[in-house]
Amino acid sequence: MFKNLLGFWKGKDFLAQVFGEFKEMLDDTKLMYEMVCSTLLENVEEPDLKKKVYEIDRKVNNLQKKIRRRIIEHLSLQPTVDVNTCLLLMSVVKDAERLGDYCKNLYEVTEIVEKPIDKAVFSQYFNGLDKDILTLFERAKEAFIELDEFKAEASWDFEHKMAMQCDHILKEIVKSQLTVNEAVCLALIARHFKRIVAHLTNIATSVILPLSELDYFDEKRALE
Amino acid sequence: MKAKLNVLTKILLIAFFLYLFLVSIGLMGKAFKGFGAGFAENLIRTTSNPFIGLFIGILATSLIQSSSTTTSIVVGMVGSGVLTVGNAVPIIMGANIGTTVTNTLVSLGHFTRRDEFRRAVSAATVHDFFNLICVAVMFPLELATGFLQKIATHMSSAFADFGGIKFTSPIKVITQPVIDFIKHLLIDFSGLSKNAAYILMLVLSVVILFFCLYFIVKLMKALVVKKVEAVLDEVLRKNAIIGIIAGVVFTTIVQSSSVTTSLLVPLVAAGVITMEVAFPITIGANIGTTGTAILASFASAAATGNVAAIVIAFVHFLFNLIGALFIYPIKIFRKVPISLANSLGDLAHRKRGYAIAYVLGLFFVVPSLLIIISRYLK
Repeated sequence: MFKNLLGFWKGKDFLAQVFGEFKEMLDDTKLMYEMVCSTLLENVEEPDLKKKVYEIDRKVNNLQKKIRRRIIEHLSLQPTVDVNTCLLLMSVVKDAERLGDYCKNLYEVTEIVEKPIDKAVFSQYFNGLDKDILTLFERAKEAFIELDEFKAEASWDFEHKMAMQCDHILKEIVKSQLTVNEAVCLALIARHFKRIVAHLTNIATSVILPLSELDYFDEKRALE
Repeated sequence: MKAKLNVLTKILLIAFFLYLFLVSIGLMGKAFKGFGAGFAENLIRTTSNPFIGLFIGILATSLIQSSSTTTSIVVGMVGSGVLTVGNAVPIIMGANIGTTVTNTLVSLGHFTRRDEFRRAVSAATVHDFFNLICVAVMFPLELATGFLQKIATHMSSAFADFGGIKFTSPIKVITQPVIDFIKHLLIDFSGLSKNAAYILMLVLSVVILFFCLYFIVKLMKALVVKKVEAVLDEVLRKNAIIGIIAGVVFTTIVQSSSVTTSLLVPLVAAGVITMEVAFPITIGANIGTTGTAILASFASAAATGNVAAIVIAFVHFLFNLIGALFIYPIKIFRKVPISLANSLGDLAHRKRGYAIAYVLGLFFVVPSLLIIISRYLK
């Protein structure tokens, strides 16, 4: 009990807590992405991958609920403090949670792929996109946690190229002579990559976009 | 640096308003004494019917939405001798019921979302039902035996034996010059008749009391709310005892049970915490809120030298403490207010107008009617 009462004076403040938990969500989803990609694209044997991926996804979902709960607590106690940050967090935690879902979807591709994806074929279509996404994970996290506008802008530019690349990959696959299983799997990977890139960009651009424009960075760019 | 300066400013302002609060209580005592014996006899006669006292307590507190103000005024009245401890006990009990109107009104803010509204009404009215049960049990018991008064008298005499008057004397030293100055100003220099000057003094003391409590609550809340938030998850979810202690501590600091219980309503409504978690905090808030009256009683006793003010403040404390000890530890008893509150929540979920009817009925219509009927029957 004394420990609990002592905790009263040692507790972190709201923003430190939620930003810490959000960072944890991004680190976890990045780990999921890395594990799945190394198995799917580099044929690295990862024991109990399914169990690990689903466990991390559950953790990410719980962190999302925890952050939402903290936001409600915060707004109940201090309804006028950090309102914009709370609304922003409500939006970006959804993006982080979706990252977990798409990593899970990527894992599901490992279950339907009939033979290991040929590295040369993958490289021909994706041209290192998987590694670029890993960089985007870091950039988005740094942009959001450090409120770094330059990194947010850079992520935005990066996203544009990657999204175009994903669309281009699909067009190329449609015209290719790949087997049905290979084509479907590569198309799914391209599709999931595009969604991951979009959610990471949502997170990064939330630093520079007005609240009402969140998630619509592409429309904003088109207008500019 | 700026944040530290901000905190220091808040602490200084709290000290200032606390000082003014003590002055207002002393001033009130002087004003009541100035009205003379006739006024006291009249007031004592009016409140001699304990039911009228009870309903006055409910109505007055519901209207001003602050039991601290009601109980502080009652303490001031008892200290100055215009109200007996016996007559004041039902008013204090009524104030305990009346204070729950604030969080019930807060629950009405969730009107648009039915399910949330059900939980909000349940969370708010569990405090009402807890206090109603306490009154239903202890009011007749007190009328029959006077047990609260006896224990409180014993406690205050023990307190006096340990140097109670000496303990209160520092308050007298710091407040008396200002009280005397205001009295001197109003009686000797205002040009008003003595009676008018005392009425003005009473009005002034009530206004100062009200504003001081308002600002103390506001500043205290601003000062501690960040700390509370930081540990809300870690501390309050542990167990009921921690919940009760947290309720007592937070409410003693902010000097308002309404602040504590009103903060719980949106949390329960949103499903962040359950009724079972909120209930012990509410009980703790009930105990913590008695600190204001105890503080006022020291100021009153210091100004008038009448220990009765301390007795009534202890009655308030004992009433809430015994209520908590009687209801919370026994599972069957504990479930009663929760079940009643949940039933009212379900009713409000089906037809939301019931919640509004409940607020108007319990806090305003029924006490007003009963006061009128009691007077008419007399």
